Amino acid sequence: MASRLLRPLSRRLQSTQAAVKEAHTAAPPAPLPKEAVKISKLSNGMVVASLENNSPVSRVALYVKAGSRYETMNNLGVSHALRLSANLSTKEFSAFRLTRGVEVLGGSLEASGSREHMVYKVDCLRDEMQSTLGYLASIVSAPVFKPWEVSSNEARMAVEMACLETQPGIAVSEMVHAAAYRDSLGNSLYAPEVMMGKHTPAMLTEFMQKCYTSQSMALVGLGTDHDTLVQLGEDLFSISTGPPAVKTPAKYVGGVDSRRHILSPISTAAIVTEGSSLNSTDLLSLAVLQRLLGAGPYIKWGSDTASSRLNRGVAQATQMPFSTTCFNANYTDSGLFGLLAAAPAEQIGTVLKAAVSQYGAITKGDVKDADVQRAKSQLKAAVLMSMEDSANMLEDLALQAVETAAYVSPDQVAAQVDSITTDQIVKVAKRVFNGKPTMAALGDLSNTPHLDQLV
Amino acid sequence: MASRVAAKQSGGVFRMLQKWYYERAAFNQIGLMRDDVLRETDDVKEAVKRLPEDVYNARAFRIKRALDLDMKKQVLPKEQWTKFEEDIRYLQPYLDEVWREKKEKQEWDSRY
Repeated sequence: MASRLLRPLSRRLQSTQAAVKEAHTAAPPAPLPKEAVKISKLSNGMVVASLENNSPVSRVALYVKAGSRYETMNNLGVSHALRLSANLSTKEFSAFRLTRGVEVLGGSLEASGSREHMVYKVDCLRDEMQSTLGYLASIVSAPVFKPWEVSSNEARMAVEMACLETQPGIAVSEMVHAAAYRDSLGNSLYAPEVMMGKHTPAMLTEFMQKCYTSQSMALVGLGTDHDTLVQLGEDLFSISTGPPAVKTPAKYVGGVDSRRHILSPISTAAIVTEGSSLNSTDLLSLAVLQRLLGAGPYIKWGSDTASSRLNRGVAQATQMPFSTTCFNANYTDSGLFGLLAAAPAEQIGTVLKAAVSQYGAITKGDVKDADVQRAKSQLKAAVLMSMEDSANMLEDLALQAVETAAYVSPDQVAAQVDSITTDQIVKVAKRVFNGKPTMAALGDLSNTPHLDQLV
Repeated sequence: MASRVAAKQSGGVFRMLQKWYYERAAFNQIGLMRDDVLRETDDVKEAVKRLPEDVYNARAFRIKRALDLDMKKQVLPKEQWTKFEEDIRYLQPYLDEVWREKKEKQEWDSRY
């Protein structure tokens, strides 16, 4: 009886083995062709860019020129409130429907923002892109802002402000931006405490009408067909034919010492001067200088003194734990360059003095060619390796699309980095170091020197 | 269902019946409107939370005045009674929305 059952079983097993063997000996399928980035400008003014990477998952980002720099004193923090309002009811869908609808399609929708842009990211299966983008279009073009839904933002905003309190590095970055620029780029990403709960539906609507026009948007896709994305851009995102919002030019003022004393064992400080904007010729030289000074760590749990000049210099001055990194922020019309340091409250003065002296040394030409070469390699590696992650790829493509409607590939950037010389580095270091400095400090300030005691 | 139809739209006899019933209910004699005396279910509580501030304040005042009158076993003078024609169902749009949201949630929860 058992042998009768075993016979067909063994026959089936033999045929499976034969099939597997066949599959291995058959020729592998031809690889799919590598596609290039495609960029189109639509009739409604929107820029659409896409890169087909043959992924089963489509990642689409909508970048809107509606960051915190477009806020005025009357509506400070409105971009923060708008970020939190991305899941609220629209004319077509209720808040519940938005969440469940995107979930049932297997997608995800995320709203984030920077100083210059409001970013909506959609991840979805390739076949569901149209439906998922339909939800996004509804959020961006026809939100209702029901008063009871908008007032629920206050609690969520309070959570984000509480998280900010636990991140002194971010808090100091916000302080130094506010000190360096006053308005426009100085507007914080987070709503000030006085404005919590004060963002009314009318305020949100007014900000959206001012900033959310088709001309100030870019729809960017990774793993999407370009023609499909162009069609969806025309159909779904023809929002308003008005002109883009007036962008107050960012004017670096500097010379300000912004300090906030809180009882904390660690003191965090940032000292910056004006750096370079995204379309400046100095952009890559400053990036190399940043790597030279220290933008690691490259080895986990390491001392990070081998390639970080700042850390090397400070390690000679103190035995206590510390952290220094070169601060480099680039925006469309300005930038900040300097250092960000954290140390126990008693040591912060020593740390800052040692770090600042390293900057001074570079301007006097104390730079080895080998160090510059290493910094260039590190920058190239960082740029190319970040493109391994499709999220970084999408962000890079989107930022270029929304601001320039063109695309410079990472390989082109790597080639430009190769052509930077040591003299260029020293020259740009001199220009930056001799600019008007700005300082921000947060923590126990009892031993934190003032700006005029450092530079 | 009958109360959802606006007074103007109902036919002559039906309207007379409505008016008679309204006068018999007599909550208008202590200055209340129909939506002030709705039984407070969870849906009604949620809808009241969504009222704009001025409407909510007017409702709170009417209820407070009515409680005071009831304690004193008095009614308002006849000219201050709420008139049948002026009794607006102000809470109805918010109730409808709460009901729609509830229905949507039930539908989705049963499907997925």
